[in-house]
Amino acid sequence: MTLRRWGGPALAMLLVLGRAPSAQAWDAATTHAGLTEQAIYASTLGRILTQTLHRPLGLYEPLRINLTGPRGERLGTALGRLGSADGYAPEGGRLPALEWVVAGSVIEETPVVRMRNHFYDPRTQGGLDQGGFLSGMDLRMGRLLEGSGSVREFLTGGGLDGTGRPSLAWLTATDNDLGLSWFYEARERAVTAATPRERDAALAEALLVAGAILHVVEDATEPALVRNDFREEFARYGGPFRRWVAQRYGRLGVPAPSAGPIDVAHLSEIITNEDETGLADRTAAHFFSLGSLPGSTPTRSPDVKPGAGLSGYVAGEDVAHLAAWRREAGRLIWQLDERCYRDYASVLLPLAAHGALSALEHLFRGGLSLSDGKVYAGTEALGAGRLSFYAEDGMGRRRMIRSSEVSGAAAEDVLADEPTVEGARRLVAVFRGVDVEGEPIVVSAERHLE
Amino acid sequence: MNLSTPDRAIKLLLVFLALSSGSGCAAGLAEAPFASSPGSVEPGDLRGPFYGQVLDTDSSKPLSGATVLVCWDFVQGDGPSAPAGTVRRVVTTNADGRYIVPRVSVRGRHGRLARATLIIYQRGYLAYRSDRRYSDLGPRGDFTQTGNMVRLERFPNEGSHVRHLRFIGAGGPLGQAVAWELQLASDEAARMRPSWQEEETGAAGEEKPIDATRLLSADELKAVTGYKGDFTIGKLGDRETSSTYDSVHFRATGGQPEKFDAAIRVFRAADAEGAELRYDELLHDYPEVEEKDEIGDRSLRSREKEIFGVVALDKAHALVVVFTCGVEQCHDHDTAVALVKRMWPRLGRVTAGRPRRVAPSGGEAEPAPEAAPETPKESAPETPKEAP
Repeated sequence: MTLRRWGGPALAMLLVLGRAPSAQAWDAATTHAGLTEQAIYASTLGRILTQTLHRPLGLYEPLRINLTGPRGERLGTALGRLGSADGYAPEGGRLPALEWVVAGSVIEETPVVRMRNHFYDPRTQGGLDQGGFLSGMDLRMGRLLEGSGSVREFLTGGGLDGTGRPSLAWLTATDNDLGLSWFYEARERAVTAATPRERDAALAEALLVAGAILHVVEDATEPALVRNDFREEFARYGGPFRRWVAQRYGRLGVPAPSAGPIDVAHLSEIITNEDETGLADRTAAHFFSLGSLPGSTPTRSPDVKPGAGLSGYVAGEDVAHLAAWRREAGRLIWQLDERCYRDYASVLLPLAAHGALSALEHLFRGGLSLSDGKVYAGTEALGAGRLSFYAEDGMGRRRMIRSSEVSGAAAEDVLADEPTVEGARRLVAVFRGVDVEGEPIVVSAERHLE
Repeated sequence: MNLSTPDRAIKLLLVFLALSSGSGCAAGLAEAPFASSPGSVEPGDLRGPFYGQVLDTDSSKPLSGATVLVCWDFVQGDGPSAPAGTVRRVVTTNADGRYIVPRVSVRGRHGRLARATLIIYQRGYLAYRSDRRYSDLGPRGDFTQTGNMVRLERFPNEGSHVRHLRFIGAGGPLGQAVAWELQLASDEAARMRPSWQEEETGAAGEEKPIDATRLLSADELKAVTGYKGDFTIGKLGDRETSSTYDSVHFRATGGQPEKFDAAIRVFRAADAEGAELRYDELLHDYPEVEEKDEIGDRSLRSREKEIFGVVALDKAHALVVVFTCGVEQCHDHDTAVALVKRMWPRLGRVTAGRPRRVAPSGGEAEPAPEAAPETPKESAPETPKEAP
């Protein structure tokens, strides 16, 4: 295939296309920021920052980030674009700890093309699948016309073309610079880096990445993103539900989590699991998006039947206004209106905050403790990994004194013996490996030496 | 595909597109959600300028020296989209409490001006936002671009700095101004407990029921025993779940007899001594007991007809775990022991109070597909009559 072959369709499309609006799930600057904020306030993160990571101000500890290299440049650019009316735009690279998490949840969708990887359809276990290089050309053209896409994206198909990876895969993708591997790497450096400044920077980075991960989890409660609906909900209608939620709730009006965190063996279970109680499972099964209303193809649950009159609403398992219907010239027309949006948001936002809370607790789960000359696993049983010890001098500089592979330990059981350290002010232990479920984990403990 | 020699028409088209819209220069601005002046129905201009006066609510006197921050947020793409940059300006109120924030130029800016937010901050007072009210965090409808009258309330003695910092944001351009609140908010946050933690502890301090479902999932059971069928998960029904007892019954579906089933009982005592007493009772009461001490602090194997039993003691959590498994499920005692060993690292979760997995309304543990179980099918070893 050469460019010549699709030259004709491209020109024709230019004539007929309206501007395809850019797409987002929950609005990042308002809704995601609010959801993440609510999750943080309901979490034990503040206690972890104070007690485990020895940041006296906990959630409010000012931290200065230091991102380097091409990744640092990209993230720095994204952070530099954040709106500054909500407290999460860094000033001179500094923010309080909790605002780094919020900032991460906002920049996960900067640039917008990242959202192509936030879809997960539990029915197919796949990601966004409504385009491709050729069939997604109209979408790329739309973005180019509105100024949010680039010529390069248009030519190469690298932009938002109606395809993407499943969000579950995106979380662990090596090319996701705000993915899980970056979180664990930064979480470890937050304890092992040589200087206090480097450790602060690493902690800020870990929190930033944690926020981005929360964004992906929160997106599993947006009906269009779990029902493979990009073209209708976003490209055609510009994401009316998302816009309505952003305007009505803003950042500050977003509700708190619906319940306490759930304890999951794997982060992915929050999004989907075999009990079909994951955020995506539940949202896909019980809510509609504009492109997956009754009568659309392929037919999707929930099954609903209109009443006998001219118009009305069908109720769902969770909401009174699941979808609006009306009969017009012998046709049955389905729609989502403001009543539906109000009902949807009242259920889905607390659920999203709940998922984010569970994800946050999962990322910072477990711990270590140092006592009686031994290192103990915390509340989380540990599998195989590397246990390293660091000695901190009076200037706060840390140096590794021992590192070895360990086979793991049961919860609150002995992991290893403490090394003998002389002339140090503080002993630090950090474990990086997997837990008993095989999930990556980083835990640490510090002890002041007499 | 040969991208180096694109068709000439395409080239021209793309150059046109790049010049006409791809540059990303500000293409416009959104409609302001506020009026231009008090009493007017004309929408204001997001670009400004903004005029107003700040007064003390109680005295109605002008507040001089209050910080007034205006943030203009640009986004990329039609509709709310990715952040594309921000411009902010900080001024202070004069002796009359008046502020003037000049109009911002959007020329040459990347993206589209989507939002303008004005925040007023004065130490000792509750802050003001042009988009939301502090009282209920609801949308504010009385902000105007010009002639805006702001009455700041004094920060109440019992006021929450956590809420206040959430309202204005703990970082950003006001970071220096609000730095003194960080310690207060941190102290307050350390005293606060999320509502879900309070629920788990119980309103009157009563202990929450223990939860044996956290010890083993049906999938794990099947993975270890190699069983291909499914289970209905429920309670054994011999005793109510309480703070000292819980059970899980993995009942094989398809009308299978109980020798395909498995069950977990967990007893919690007040302390390690109480747990050991309970263990000793079981040691005495159960049939064909062989004390092996292969799990936890102490453990035994027991068997009655087609049911293997394993009992283990954990003094640290004051727990006794009884696992029973039919011979068609576990096949031998070693399998039953392996399953209990698998549960052991999770004993802390039995009392931790968190449900496993997402429940729609946030309440339930692993759902049982069927209604509450009937009379327990399991017969051996016998369940003790009393909890410790």
